Amino acid sequence: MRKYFLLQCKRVLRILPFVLAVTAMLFGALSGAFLAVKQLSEDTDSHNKFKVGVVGNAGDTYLQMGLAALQSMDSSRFSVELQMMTQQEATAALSGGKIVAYVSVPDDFLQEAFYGNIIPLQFVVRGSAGGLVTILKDEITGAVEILLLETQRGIYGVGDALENAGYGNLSGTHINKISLKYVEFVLDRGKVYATEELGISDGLGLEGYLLCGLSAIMLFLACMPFAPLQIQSDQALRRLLASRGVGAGKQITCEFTSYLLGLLVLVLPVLWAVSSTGVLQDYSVTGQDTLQVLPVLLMVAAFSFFLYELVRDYVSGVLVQFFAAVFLCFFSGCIFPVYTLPKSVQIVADLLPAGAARRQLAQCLTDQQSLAPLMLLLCYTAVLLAGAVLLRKKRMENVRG
Amino acid sequence: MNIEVKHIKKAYGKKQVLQDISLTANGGECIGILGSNGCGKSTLLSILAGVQKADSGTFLCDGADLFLNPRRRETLVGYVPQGTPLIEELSAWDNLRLWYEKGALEKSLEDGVLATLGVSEFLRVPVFKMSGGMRKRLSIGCAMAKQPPVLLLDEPTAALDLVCKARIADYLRSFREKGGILLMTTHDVQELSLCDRHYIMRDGVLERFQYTGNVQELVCKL
Repeated sequence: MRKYFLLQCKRVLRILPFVLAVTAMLFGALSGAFLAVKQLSEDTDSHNKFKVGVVGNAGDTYLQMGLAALQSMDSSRFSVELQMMTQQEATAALSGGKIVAYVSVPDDFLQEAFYGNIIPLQFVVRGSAGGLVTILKDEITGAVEILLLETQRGIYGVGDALENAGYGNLSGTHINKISLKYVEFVLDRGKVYATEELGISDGLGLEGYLLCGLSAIMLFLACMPFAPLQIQSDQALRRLLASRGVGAGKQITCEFTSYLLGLLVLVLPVLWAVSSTGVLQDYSVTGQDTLQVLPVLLMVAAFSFFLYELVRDYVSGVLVQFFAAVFLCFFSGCIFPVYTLPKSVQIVADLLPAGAARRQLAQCLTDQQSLAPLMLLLCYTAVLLAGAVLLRKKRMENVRG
Repeated sequence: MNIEVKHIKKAYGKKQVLQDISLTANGGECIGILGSNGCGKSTLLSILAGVQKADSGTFLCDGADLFLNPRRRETLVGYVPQGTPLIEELSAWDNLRLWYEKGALEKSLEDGVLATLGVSEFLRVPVFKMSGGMRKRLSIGCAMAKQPPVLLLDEPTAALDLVCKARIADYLRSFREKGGILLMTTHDVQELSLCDRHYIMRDGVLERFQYTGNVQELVCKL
């Protein structure tokens, strides 16, 4: 049995360069996917804001101040981001897709508005803007309300107050500064609340959740390059081993242990890199945290062992492994957050092998510790290995001739 | 040295594959078992080799029941299953190391079974690069690691060229001449000429027949 184990280790070592190459490709692809999702997540705020150009008299103090107030304060108020630009810049930006629309403010718009005469703003969009126009019109109306009412009222109000208090000699610049401060206090409602994110699941935000989900997929798929080692269409060696007292159980034990060591050689450097380089900036992952991955590795290795006992050739083995891993990961919420899945699936998602793996991996990133995923993983490992032993025994005994 | 197979029965579910199989063989005898595909020949050998258990029956070697003493069976019975009982990625040397201790392996390569089989010619060649004949010789070499007096061969020369068949037949002849007992299943008429006694297995029953070299007669019996 010891010799068989050592030979299995030798086989794993032989195939390791190939496995490393395939795993590096997989890792690269999944890292790319993760970074793309992370980038998307980081850009969510700016993506949600529509950039709108404002074309008008750049020398108009009120227009400038109103825009400054809108741009620098109360980011929660609007879903549009206003940018002052010239007519030419606005036209070019709209054509290039950098802004979704621009508003042309007539030169005497504010003056006339002050006297109650509303001159319509010219709102320019591309033909494809569709229903966005309605949203933007609402937003612009809100912006104009701020520009006209809050800014002018504030500035004039403060000026009058200072005049009445005997500070009329203060320069316009000072008054403007004070007014801006006032407007900032009034309008910056974003400061009156703090946001606490409960996270998607297991105390993780979208980024951490997806990291765990993609890591689970990665581990499931990392077993694929080992398929040529484990899939045996010819049962002769196994029968010969059985005739020498190395039965299905002992065979699986030797093969599984060497296979697990191979997987560890693949995964440990990544874990070491994660824990020592702090590449996950938002999470502090220690070496001890990374040990949480070991039960997942056990289960994943047992899972592939079980599948490989079901098939008779490499191509079927790789296909079965791939589709089983992807479907399992999908229904366990590793690809999309679990709350996006149907209610009935949500109930079983955490109980499936990939779900338990995802939850166990989540414990690397959070302080939450639960024995439930660990126990589930160990149960799955035992059941899958027992299944693999039974299948092998059955195949060895299935002698035709 | 003699072996006695007594009243072996085996069923897969409701299908009775072996029905009360009995035979005996003495040292230096070669027994050939013929039969159509799926008739139970390989099942019988795998039971005798210990790969699977019989529903009933005994396998005696010099009076000792090998079914009850697997350790003894491992040293007394060598088994060459159908196919390639080798690890494809590894060399002949590595495969042999699975079955031989280092000293015994070197000795066997020098003047033992492995030397007779000519395994040293391809000792460092990985199995996946070997020809069918090399693989079969290596498989027999692996089975002979403990120098068992009984050798079970499941279609030993199937799909081999004539030169390889002749080489393996030479070895088997020398094994028999040294007092070994050969029990082989075969579809090959050339192998039948090696055998002292012939049996046909049909519907799980073993029937003795005398092979006279007439293939047409043999086909009719099958």
